[in-house]
Amino acid sequence: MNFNYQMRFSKTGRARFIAHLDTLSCLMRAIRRAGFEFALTQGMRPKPVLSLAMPLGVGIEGEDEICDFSLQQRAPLAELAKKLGGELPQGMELKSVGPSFDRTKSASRVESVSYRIEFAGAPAGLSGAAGRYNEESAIVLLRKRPKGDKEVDIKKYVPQVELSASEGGPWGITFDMAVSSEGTGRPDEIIEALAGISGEELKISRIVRTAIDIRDEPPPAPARPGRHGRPAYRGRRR
Amino acid sequence: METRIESLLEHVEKPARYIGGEVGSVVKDDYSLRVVLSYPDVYEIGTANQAVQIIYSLINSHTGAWAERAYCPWPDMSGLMRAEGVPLFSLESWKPVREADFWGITLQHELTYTNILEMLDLAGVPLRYQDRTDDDPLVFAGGPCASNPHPIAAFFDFILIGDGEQVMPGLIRLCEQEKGKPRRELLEKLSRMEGVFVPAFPRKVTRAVADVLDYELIPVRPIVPSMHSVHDRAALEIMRGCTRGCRFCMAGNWYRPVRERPMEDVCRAVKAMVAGTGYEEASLSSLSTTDYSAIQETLAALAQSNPNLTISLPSLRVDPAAIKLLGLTSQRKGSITLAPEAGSQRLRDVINKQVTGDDIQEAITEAFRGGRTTVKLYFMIGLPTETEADLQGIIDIATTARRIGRSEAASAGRVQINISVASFVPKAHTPFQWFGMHGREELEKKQEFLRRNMPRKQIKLSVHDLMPGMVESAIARGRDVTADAIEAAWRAGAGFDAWTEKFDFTAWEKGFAAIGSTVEQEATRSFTLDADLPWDDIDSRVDKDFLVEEKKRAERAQVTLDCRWGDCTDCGVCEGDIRMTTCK
Repeated sequence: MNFNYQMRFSKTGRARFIAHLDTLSCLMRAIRRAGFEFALTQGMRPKPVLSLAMPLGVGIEGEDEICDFSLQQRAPLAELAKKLGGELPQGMELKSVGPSFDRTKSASRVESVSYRIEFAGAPAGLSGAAGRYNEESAIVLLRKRPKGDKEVDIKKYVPQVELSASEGGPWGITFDMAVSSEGTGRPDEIIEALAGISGEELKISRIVRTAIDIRDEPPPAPARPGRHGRPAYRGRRR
Repeated sequence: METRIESLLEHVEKPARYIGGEVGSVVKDDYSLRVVLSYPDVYEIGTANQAVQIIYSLINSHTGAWAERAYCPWPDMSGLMRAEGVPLFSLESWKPVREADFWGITLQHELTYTNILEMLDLAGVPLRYQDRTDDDPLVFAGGPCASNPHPIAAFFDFILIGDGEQVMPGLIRLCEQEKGKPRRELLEKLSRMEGVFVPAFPRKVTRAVADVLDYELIPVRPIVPSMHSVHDRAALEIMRGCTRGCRFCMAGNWYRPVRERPMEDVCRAVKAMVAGTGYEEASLSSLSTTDYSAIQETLAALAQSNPNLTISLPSLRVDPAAIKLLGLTSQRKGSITLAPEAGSQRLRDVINKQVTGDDIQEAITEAFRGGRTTVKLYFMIGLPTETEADLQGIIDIATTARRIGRSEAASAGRVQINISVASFVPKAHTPFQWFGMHGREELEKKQEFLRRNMPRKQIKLSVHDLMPGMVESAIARGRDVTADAIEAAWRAGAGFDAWTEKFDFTAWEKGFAAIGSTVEQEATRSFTLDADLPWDDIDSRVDKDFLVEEKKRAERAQVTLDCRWGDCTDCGVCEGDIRMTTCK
């Protein structure tokens, strides 16, 4: 029997340079150092059960990242939080950890992600560019890929961007980006779109993923009553 | 400085190399001296080095000084650093290395030497010790290649000869007391310490030896890199030294005598290291791990107390019993590497590799029976007295291995024999130190012979590039003037020479031309027995007479038995507290 947990953590500052696979190793080692034993996957090469809801690009900070993992034994929650908290590399911080009762991984249920992009200085054309971005019905960018470039309409994923203004003028934007089975966008594509509209170079100081929204699990299919009120036998009949 | 570094990291490959903050790294607020330790290669190579981890943990846990680390930035990063005027910084504090009190660089390999110059230059520290002032850190070196410090002596203020942990505590204490004194005064004092070679005050130096391997000095909470490194596992040195007496082997002749760690210490340390790092694999390292007296009991005890841990054993001897030991570890079955080193019994006797043809066959049989499909065999060419018959021996061993594999392995079709062939590089302080490396043309002919005659089916021959070995040889037995060649090579663009794609022989040709010589001339230089050797002022504690005798025995193809099991070979290393310590 496995015990499933979910932790939320942030990865900010210098830790934003730790790549996705290395982040997985950091988290696995942290859990082992904290003294907990992973549940293992089945198969020839059993691997610890741990996954992130969504990879985070190198250089992008995450304020509320989601990690699902399974342990072999039930862990007292207070102990789990306390021990795990001290074991992460500098820049990664545990925000919460708790049991998870979901049957499917968060990774398969990401609905949308939210970003905040902070610009260096106060780009003059940002406000106008954001307004025009929101008005356009489609913004098509070229995604360069080794197997041939592909056109994407970035508005499909990010319909609206919002300016976050401060006293010195608008210094940043926030937006939600849809994630679907067809794909999603990347924050630098939004920057590319805005820069294209405003015609000025936008200097970025930070890109932060502020949230990952997870779709609720579909409720388990109710057992259909068979004759005599017994649940129908759903397996193969001999 | 911090924001400047961060903005560079946005534009480089693998920026995690430069961020520090790993679990196990140490930040001190209050310290007597700031020391930076370096391995002169890129982060993911350097961070796997045990010497840096041992000295790092020793300084941080046992002295009032603070040890930080810095590795050689990859060319993309160093290019940006130069363009933006960012000096080499330490990982822990992101402060310039130049501002440290001491800067220690480990010498593990001759082909990292140009990176030392690259790092000094990036740090803004004058390359030559004479040009440094009281404002510069004292730059020191240590590690196996310090056994001949002359080729790089010009770049260091002092060089530790021998076991660093033996010298370090006293050295830190002395430097704490003398802090603020002029550089020359301190260096003069250091030159009187055992195991410290000071190029400005050259004296005969005797190698420092730790008489036992102290449990307290094991880095049980080593740094766990936040990115993939070449050895993602806990590494524990279970034994230092090897007296098998292979005559080409620098480590075997230098790190005498054998000092084994008690078995209880090994078990305790592995447990602590695994708990402290979260690694799933631990490596029991030494020059010849299966020679550790209690290896069988240790493996059994570790398997019992850490059932999920993979134990890896580097440096396996060509010995069926050793291969059987692998069954005790839960190591993945795949390939296994064995090093017969030479193709014929005669040549194996010359080099004193006490491995017979039967040993080789039985070891290979055992490996295939144990479920492995790939056997890698490592050989050297260009050994003293080598003839074509010895090369043919390599081919014969390869075909025999293939035959054994086809009959013993579970699937004959999947059997693969990989033959790896390197060229012999003579090293200082070995019985072969007087021999020159074979010339380029001769070695090319030998490589060609193997390529032409080695069967191809299920046998893969890979021959190491000749030129990196030649450069290594030219430096390994070099003199003070070799430093000029290294500097000229670096100025001509040499760097990361151990990386095949970065190795630039033209730069090295230019380098040695600067001292009126060539790589080949330096590499192939042989010495007569009565000649003064450039490294004669370094006393390895092994008598030179012993080395002379061993050289003569080699020429007669006479073997010398290991003193662990045979008689004392009178190498001269045991003296006072310094003697062989086994755990049984």
